[in-house]
Amino acid sequence: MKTRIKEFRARYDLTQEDLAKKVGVRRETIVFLEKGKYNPSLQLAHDVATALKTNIEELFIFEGKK
Amino acid sequence: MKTKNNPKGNDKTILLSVGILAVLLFSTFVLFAVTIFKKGAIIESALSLIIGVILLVALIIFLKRRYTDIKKGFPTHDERSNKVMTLAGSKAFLISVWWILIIGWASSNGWFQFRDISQATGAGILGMAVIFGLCWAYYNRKGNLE
Repeated sequence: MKTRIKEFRARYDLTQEDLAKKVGVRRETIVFLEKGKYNPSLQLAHDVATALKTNIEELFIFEGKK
Repeated sequence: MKTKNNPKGNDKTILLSVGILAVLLFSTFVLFAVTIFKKGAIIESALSLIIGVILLVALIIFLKRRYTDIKKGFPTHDERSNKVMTLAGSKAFLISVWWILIIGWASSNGWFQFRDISQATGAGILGMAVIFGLCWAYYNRKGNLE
């Protein structure tokens, strides 16, 4: 799964720490999400999307199972 | 709807518990080292002290990181860290069963002898703790937790 978290963070001039605080998660969680190495729950995906003023479809690019 | 955070009270309890655990662990290793030093086991005594110091340093680093995180306003647990703990716990349980079987088998085959039942229990529990720590470190670094 690819994400556009970095792109949206840059748009709103947010650091990983800022975003983590906004969402209410640990910084490592944002790091792994940004790298596309962690599949979040629907709740977390929604919280991140809301914090970045977008929606899940815009933020997360699902590639399907390999 | 927000992702669950731990309240401040829980954070303090966790930090205090880990702090007490660090002091107890270190004291245990120091007492054990002094006891076996008196019996003439100098190498084992030094080894016990080294393990105690390593554990103390690791726990102090853990406490310092958690304290900094709490001060900065980050939660001590979140969705991913809970998943890491669950996976590490379940994997560590399976490996621990093998660990207990292996030390029991090695001891009954004369590879090494435990002084008494408390030493055997201590080796089992210490091994389980180390296995959990390693499993946690593995899953915490692993990106995909599926």
